[in-house]
Amino acid sequence: MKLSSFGYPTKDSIALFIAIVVSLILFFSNSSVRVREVQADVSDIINIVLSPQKWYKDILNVKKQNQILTETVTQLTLLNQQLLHYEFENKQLREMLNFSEDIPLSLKPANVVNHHFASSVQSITIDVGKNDQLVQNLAVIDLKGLLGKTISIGENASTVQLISDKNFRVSVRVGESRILGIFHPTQGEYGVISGIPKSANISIGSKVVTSGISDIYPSNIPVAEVIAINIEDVEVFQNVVVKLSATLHNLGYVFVIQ
Amino acid sequence: MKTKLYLKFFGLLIVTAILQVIFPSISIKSILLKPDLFLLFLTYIALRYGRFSSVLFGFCLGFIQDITTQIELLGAFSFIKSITGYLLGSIFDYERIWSKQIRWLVIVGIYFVHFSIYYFIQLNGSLTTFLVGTMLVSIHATINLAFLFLMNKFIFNSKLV
Repeated sequence: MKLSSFGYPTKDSIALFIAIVVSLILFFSNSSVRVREVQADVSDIINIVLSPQKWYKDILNVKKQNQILTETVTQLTLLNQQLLHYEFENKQLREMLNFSEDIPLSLKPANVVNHHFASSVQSITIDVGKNDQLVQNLAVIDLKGLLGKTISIGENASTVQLISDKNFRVSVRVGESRILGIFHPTQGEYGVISGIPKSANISIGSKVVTSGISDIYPSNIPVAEVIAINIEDVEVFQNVVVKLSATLHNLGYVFVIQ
Repeated sequence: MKTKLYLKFFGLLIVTAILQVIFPSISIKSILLKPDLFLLFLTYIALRYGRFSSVLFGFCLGFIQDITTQIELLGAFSFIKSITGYLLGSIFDYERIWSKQIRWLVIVGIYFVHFSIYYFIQLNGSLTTFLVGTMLVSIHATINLAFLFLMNKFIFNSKLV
């Protein structure tokens, strides 16, 4: 609109404005089909003219939405990680419950609070002790098999000598023929079974379980699995190499057999 | 003095309206074309009396044209004629600055704008193609320009534009 030298609209512009407004009111107040078609076309034209503005607004919205979504994705990723952890924990606990139901033993669940693999005695610390009626020399197992035995008991915590400790021994039975032998740890998760006569028929993959002769360990607790057998002429016994059933690394939950 | 002027305008308006009605039409693509004498009258008002008068006359002429020719699109001609009157009135404001050629060029442009808006409304919803529409705008504008040229030459002795 043209402005006068004082910045106000001129009378020409005002007259034009009034004329246009009156004309448009007259035109669009008519409800005929042709007027509606013109109205639709005018709307289309306005839409086309305003499309860059709309596009720009859309871009800004997309940018803002992208930022919000990125934040949401990050939050959900963190939440997902937490849920995965819960799922894993839940699965482990369910397996533990099933395991405890299968074996008719009194099991005391415990959390592993510390590891001592580098000390003179390979051990772990668990968060149960005298207050939980624990005493020395109780067998400790995990989901898969024998893990060790309690060696010192505190009020609320206990130390467990691991099966991988060099001084650890346990009487075992090997295979279906249940031949008696003694388990000795060697390195890491491996060990040997001594005292197996050459005549004993055992094979690779045979299960090694506690014999039950000891006062400490109940019978039939999984200990290891045979992975190699060496028979030498000069030796009296077979050299049976086994791999431990229990998982020594990444220990989280254990059971104390009371 | 003013009464005389109003009477002159009123007389011219009556003559224009009668001529507009009785003027023979030519048919192009089944559309009847005849020179828009109201537009010529508006051009005369704009070039002689300036923008304000031409806007008012444009609206009035358009309104009369709406009532007499197409009541269905009431308001269309008054809208077009108001804008055209405003644009033509600019020539009056810049008469001393613009040369004759520029003034004619501006009139050509304004006539094309006038008929473009007119045919945009008139042909809306019909199956007429854009090419035919453009042709109609061009022919109608040319006819009107020819009439303006003749009017300027023989009635106003080339002093109107």
